[in-house]
Amino acid sequence: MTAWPTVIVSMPFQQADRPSIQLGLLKAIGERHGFSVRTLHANLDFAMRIGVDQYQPLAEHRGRQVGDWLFSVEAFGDEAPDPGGGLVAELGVEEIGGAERLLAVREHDVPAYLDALVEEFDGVRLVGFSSTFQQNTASFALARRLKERYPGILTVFGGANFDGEMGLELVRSVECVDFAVIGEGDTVFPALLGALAAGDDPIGIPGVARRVGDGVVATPPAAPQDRLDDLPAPDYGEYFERAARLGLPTGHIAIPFESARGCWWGAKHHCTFCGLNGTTMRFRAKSPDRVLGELDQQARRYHTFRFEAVDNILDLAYLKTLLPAITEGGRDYQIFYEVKANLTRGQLKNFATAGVTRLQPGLESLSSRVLSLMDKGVRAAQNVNLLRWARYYGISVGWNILWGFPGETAEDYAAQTAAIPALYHLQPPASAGRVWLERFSPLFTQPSRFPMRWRRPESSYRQVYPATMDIERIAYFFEYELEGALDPGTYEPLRAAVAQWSTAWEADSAPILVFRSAPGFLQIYDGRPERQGTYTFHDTLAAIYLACVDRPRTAAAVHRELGLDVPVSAVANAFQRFGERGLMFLDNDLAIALALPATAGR
Amino acid sequence: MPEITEAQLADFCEKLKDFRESLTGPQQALLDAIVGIAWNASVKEEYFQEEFEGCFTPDQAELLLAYSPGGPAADGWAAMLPRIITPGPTGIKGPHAIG
Repeated sequence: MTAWPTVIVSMPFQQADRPSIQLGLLKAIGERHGFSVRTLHANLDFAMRIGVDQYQPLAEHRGRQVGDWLFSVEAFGDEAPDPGGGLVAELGVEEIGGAERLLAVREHDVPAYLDALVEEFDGVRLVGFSSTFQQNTASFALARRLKERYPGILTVFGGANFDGEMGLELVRSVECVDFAVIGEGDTVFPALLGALAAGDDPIGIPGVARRVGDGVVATPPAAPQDRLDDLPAPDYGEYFERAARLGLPTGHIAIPFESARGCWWGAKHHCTFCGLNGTTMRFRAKSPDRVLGELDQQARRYHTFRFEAVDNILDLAYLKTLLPAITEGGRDYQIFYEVKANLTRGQLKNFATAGVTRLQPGLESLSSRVLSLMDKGVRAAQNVNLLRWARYYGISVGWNILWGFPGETAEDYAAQTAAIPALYHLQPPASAGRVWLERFSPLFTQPSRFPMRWRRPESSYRQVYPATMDIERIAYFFEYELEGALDPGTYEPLRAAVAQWSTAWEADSAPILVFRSAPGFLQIYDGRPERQGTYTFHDTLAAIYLACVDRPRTAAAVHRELGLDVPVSAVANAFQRFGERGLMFLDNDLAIALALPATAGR
Repeated sequence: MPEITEAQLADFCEKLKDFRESLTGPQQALLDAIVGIAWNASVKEEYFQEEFEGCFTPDQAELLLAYSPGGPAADGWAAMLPRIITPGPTGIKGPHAIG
């Protein structure tokens, strides 16, 4: 048995400011099985060639396939559908370089980049490509050139772009794809390397697909990896070597790590818009000891304290295991996690003390009704409460406001717009916009539940992929119009309100809303724009407000807790009056105080 | 309840008391409930009204923001809340929104 010299490649437009966890993990898995595997972050070379400042917006761009369009001609030659550059002429692409510059990149930088890259594959027999979002055509372009230059070379493709029928269609229609791994590659990849080394046909390996004649032969994938503890820590050494050689700064890189796969919420209540996880929603997590050991190992190995979890959702058990272990061990890590939004004040404090400085909680809306339409399993008051305590404990929150859900009303958005000025002291959304229709999401897979007037692949796919390919089967993003959709103008006031929120948040003097209290006495200091002043409350009113500081409460619950001799309706009425003054966020029967304690760190 | 005088209210209560004594036990309970609901409905706007009306003092915050609560005086209250450790809004990993 002779192992094949193997390289796995990450092409544009993988982000350049971090190593690929797919490459790092597959390298470590391959080597654990006795195969020498080299990783090649070729995306870095392209970032350096066109400039990191131009590369990063392209890498972060979703929807319009501008990145894939740049490599389309090199990937498909004469079959490329847009040789003249119609796509960028039609689109407003100023934020990603402008049409003229993008055309120059396609005509000059892309061929020169590929020419230089091909030289690095002398003696290689197997090339693996990991492809997620807009990495398809750059990968195809390189594979095509490699096959021209080294006719005996074989290619294997995998990654999220090859999940489900997308992968099968790409295998069928793209000539430079020899094999594809459909689904998770942890066991398939070493099995494939072993089969090739032994001279066996890999086609019988579960999860492997290849083209045979005009069709595709595929062995169904095995069950997803259950025992994540068995996986090795990713090996990022070659990323750092290449970045250093190219002169890319690496001092502030956050190391990607994986502590869980799938989504425990999605397995029960699939958020209607979410297409992440494709065919592998089932939640699996590493043990806390295993995660901690990996963080410690990677910190020493790469001289960093910054980590970024690639998990779609935090394992709730970590709140009682992993986070306290990080804190008690005196580690000074800075960590990013995606979480579900219904976190308590105490839990957010635990995040902060453990060094979780950034969260992505998937808030998505400030309307409980819209959140219900999404199947998010959280109320708007909980979302606001997360923003409050995240601010208090110094945690940055990345979130969006989404719209365009079946059953929503204009009132749902008018109410959100009206609520926003009272939230200026909290972190605004990074963006506000209409939700994409993603493959694998319930909006996509359940047309009887979410009737649409029409649906089609996002239009730029047709300016990237040849007409011989079935775009319906390879697209991830779709355009659509729902039955009963609201007029697009309905959302403009909300979009404008979010823009004003961002402006207020980014001002030199951050908006604040803080309180101090003593028995029977409460003062709230309002430092939000155009609201500057002091509110003073005593006795029962002070007690009602303070009862709603930690978490959203109902009037009945506050009435019961305080043992008031006024009717419950009086408490509800006080909620209204606090709300009118922007001191509370009201969410149907729930109220949450908006001010934060002036005393830090409690 | 500015539309009735205190004397009128006292007279009404006296008549109501006499009337109540003429009722059976269940009827008395029903009357009590009706009166209770009517009382709640008529007086709820009165709760806390005065306190809310006088609760706000414009510009005072500016003075209080300058007062040092034990920490550095220069930034006052604004400095007491951590802004955000990581500068600026974070990027969003997921692709869900059309930006």
